[in-house]
Amino acid sequence: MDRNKIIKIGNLSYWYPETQKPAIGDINLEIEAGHFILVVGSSGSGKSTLLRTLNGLVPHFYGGKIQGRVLVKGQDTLGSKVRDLARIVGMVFQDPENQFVTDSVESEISFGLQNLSLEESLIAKRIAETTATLRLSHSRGKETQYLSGGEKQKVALASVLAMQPDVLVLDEPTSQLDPVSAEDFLSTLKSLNEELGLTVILSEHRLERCAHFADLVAVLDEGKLAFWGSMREMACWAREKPWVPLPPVTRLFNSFIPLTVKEGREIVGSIASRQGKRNALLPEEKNQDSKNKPEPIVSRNRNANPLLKVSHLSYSYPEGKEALKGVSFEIAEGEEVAIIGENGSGKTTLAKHMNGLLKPTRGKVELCGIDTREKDVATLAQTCGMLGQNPNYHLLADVVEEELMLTLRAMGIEGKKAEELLEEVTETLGIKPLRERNPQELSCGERELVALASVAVYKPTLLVLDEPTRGIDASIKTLISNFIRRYSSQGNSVVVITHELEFAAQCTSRIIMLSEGRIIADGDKHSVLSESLFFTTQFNKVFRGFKEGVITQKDAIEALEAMKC
Amino acid sequence: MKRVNKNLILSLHPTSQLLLAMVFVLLSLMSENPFLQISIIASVGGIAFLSGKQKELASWWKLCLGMGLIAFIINPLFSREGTTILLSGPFLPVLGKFDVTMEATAFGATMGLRIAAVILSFALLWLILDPVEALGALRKSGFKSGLTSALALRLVPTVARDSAEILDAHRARGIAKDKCGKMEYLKSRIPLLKRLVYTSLDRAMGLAEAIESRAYGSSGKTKGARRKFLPWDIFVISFSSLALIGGILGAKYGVMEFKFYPSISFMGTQSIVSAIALPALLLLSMWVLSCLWTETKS
Repeated sequence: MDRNKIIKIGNLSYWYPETQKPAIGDINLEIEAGHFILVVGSSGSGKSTLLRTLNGLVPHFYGGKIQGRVLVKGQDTLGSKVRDLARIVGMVFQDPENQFVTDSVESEISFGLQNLSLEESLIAKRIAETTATLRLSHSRGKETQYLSGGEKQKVALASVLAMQPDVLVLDEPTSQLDPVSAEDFLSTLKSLNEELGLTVILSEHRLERCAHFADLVAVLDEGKLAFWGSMREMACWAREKPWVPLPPVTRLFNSFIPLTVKEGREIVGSIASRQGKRNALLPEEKNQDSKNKPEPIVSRNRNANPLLKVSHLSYSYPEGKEALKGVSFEIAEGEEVAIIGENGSGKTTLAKHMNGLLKPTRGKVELCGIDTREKDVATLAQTCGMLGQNPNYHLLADVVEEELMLTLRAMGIEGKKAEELLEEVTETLGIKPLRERNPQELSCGERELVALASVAVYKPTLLVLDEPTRGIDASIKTLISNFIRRYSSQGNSVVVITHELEFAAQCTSRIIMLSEGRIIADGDKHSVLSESLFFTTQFNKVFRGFKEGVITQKDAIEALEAMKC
Repeated sequence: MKRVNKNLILSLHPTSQLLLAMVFVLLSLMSENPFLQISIIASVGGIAFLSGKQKELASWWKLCLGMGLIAFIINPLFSREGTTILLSGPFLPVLGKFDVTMEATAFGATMGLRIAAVILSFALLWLILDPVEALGALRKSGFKSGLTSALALRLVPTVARDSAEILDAHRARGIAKDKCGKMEYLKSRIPLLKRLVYTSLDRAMGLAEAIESRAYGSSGKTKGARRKFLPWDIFVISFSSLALIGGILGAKYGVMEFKFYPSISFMGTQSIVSAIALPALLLLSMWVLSCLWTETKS
């Protein structure tokens, strides 16, 4: 036996209880100690199931039928209990809220250590060490409910890291974090991998954040291992496979395969200098670009009668936290607007004012000229539909079709008209085949689409979507993006709150950036994203200094063609 | 593992914390003296301040106000006692002559204050007590009960948040209505309970996975994580017990007596001073102890 191989998976297949189709089938993998492994694939491809076989949750916790073998540090997971494997494999899940046992940081970290029967003095030492390593010392005395999203996920990481496992398994841990917090979290993982030699196995949808960390990548497709190799090899293999997630910059070039912004910039730099562009044309281009810039970053009065008018809006929660501070802007009919900003910057609070779920502490919100304080939410819902962060909260009925009918009936739409609208929204979102299904049985992405359909089916003039791409794969994102563009082309307005700047750049035309309850930028997407250092797309980072205003793939392709001419 | 000891109140043994909060509850129930209730509310607020939990305690004001107002309004409407008539109304079937008296109004206000005092005392306990430690202190093999209680308590705000989000999602779809008849209002909210149950079950599954993944159920478990009984606890227990004994004696000998019916009467300044003094002295002793604790720690 190769002693370096910390994980050996042989002919592994697994069936969840009462299912005929295996969730994963015939997987063979060997992972060396100290490697950083990425597990990628679309929703429902078997990533989470595969990860759960490593610490024995599959099959010990879930039941079902399993074939083959999983050896972790020589220990057969089938013959071991999950609690014994916890000493070897630490697991961090997607939502920190679902894994906190206690309500304070210290007691949370100590929970696993107490289960390992460690001495109290050793527990104290481990807590001090782990919090210092993860830069959490300042949060030790805090209660978990008062932590930011990034801090919560770090506490979840600390609580398994303190148990000193050999293998760290993470199931989409950054899906709920803003770009800066996600970057920070993943950098921490990389340093743990490099400095402690910890084996890290990470499942992620957004590869632009972590592709460069990976020693090897496993691509799963419908439960099968479709690819196993280095990230660069995977990028070559996946070029013609749109379902495989890749960093945006990787699909840009034909003969080169950059994995990072740095590599992308080197390629663009070489093209520019080969064409003599960089030195000769850049100043001129810059001038040209600044002339072409659509508008400066200021709040705009686009329309004499805006659909939504927010004036000097301030809002304080009952416990005293001031979430919005004097926010003013307008949204015209047919506009697609993205609201971006770090976790806790006030994005959701702002969205909840648009349909009257929250009423201003100071200032005013007018929807179609009506002060939202004067109408109840049900009345405002006739004009403004809103999809919250968690699609599960929206699903009440046992059948998808009935779910959509609930909204239509609440809006007073019945009969043939209701049938037409239902037909249209299911067709547009590609969920027609799901009409007779139970929403509970659908995948995460499908549920997101059904929830979106349930708020868009009656065609409200303003549609507000709060993080509609959280934890879903590229194909569903494309569906949602196409839907948004089509919806706004019919004269409706769409507001999207998102952490995914590529998505924002793809399907909106205007971006509002919030920070600590204030608008710090509001303007055309090109101007706002071009002037941001961190809150911008990979394409913009690659072309910065070579060609201004590049934020989408289309812009990047055009820029490359222009540079080559 | 205990919470970080940022101040004396949070660093106390759960038994001391429990006794401290319960003394206020018991004092509140011992006498109908309104000055006692006001003093308890102020003292509980003071102790919350000493523990750094004043903001959290303040967030309970809506509940206190709501419950207190109900008592304040209902009592004078239904009570037929008291001699000083403030408002004289018609003769109502079953209820009799509708008169609002000053005594019934004052009694209603005092009951409102008492409700607020009891709610705030329990809120203080909720805020300063670590449930895992508390259950561990009460039972020798209390870890499982402690864990259950910790999970239940930790999930209370999560479930509250989930239910608020579910309600918002369906208000935003026009399904859960705000302005409608009471029956329709209830009818529009009942289906949401099903979603709340599903969501809670999903969370429970996630939590169970996480607990299992962190070696829960391994043989043996760290025993020494319970908080030790320190001299500070002896002082706190002594002062709390003294306040309680004072309250019992005061109630027995009628020192704090305050009568509302048939007309308002009390034992002059003595009644007011003793009612204010008991909770205030307990607060004062906590403040002195807190100062000494901080000095020792620095």
